[in-house]
Amino acid sequence: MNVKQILAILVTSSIILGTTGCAKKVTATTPFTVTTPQQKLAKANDILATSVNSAVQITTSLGTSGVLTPAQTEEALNYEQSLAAFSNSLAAILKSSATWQQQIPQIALLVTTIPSQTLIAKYTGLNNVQYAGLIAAIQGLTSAVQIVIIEVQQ
Amino acid sequence: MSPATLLLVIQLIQVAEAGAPIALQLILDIKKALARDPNVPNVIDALAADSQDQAGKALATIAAWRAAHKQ
Repeated sequence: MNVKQILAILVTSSIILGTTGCAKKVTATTPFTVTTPQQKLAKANDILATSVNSAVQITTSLGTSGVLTPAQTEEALNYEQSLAAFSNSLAAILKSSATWQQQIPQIALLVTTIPSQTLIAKYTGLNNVQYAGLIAAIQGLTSAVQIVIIEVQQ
Repeated sequence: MSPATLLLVIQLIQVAEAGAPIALQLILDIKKALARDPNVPNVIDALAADSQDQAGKALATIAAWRAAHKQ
């Protein structure tokens, strides 16, 4: 393991700690509790969007440092790009002036665009410390996607 | 009285004072406002805006990485 790769792992670790260790502030003006299905889904989507952003930072960091090959980086970025687009679209629906009843079918249709998670099995199969950051990030994405799907099903 | 309720009362007074066309629109607005918890749109809008900000940053980072590593 060369210095560049060690540096990449340190950067990756700091990104993970930075994104998971700090309390996330939402720009609401007053404290709130998330209670309605719409609010719960908005919260789950926010977790997904944050996880995607974190995973992208980790992937590009590992790709730039040479820990991941360009092909591996591109593969991971393709998956993350799909989830970022999904999260963005879901947020647009939730923000729209349509009623919750009108939003439900749109969201159900959007969920069908979530890419398959074969990438996760691929990376988790690699028992390599250099991939630890990416595996953690992708597992975080998986959990975030599952939370969104559960909220949609409810 | 919450600001949202006060706003509704003001709108009801305006409905009473206004003519029929404007009154109809105000009634529709009031009906829409009453149908939703006044706090709900703020929470959802804030969360959705933050989600779009995070997803946008992710997409921008991907685009920048691809531009820098274009072969």
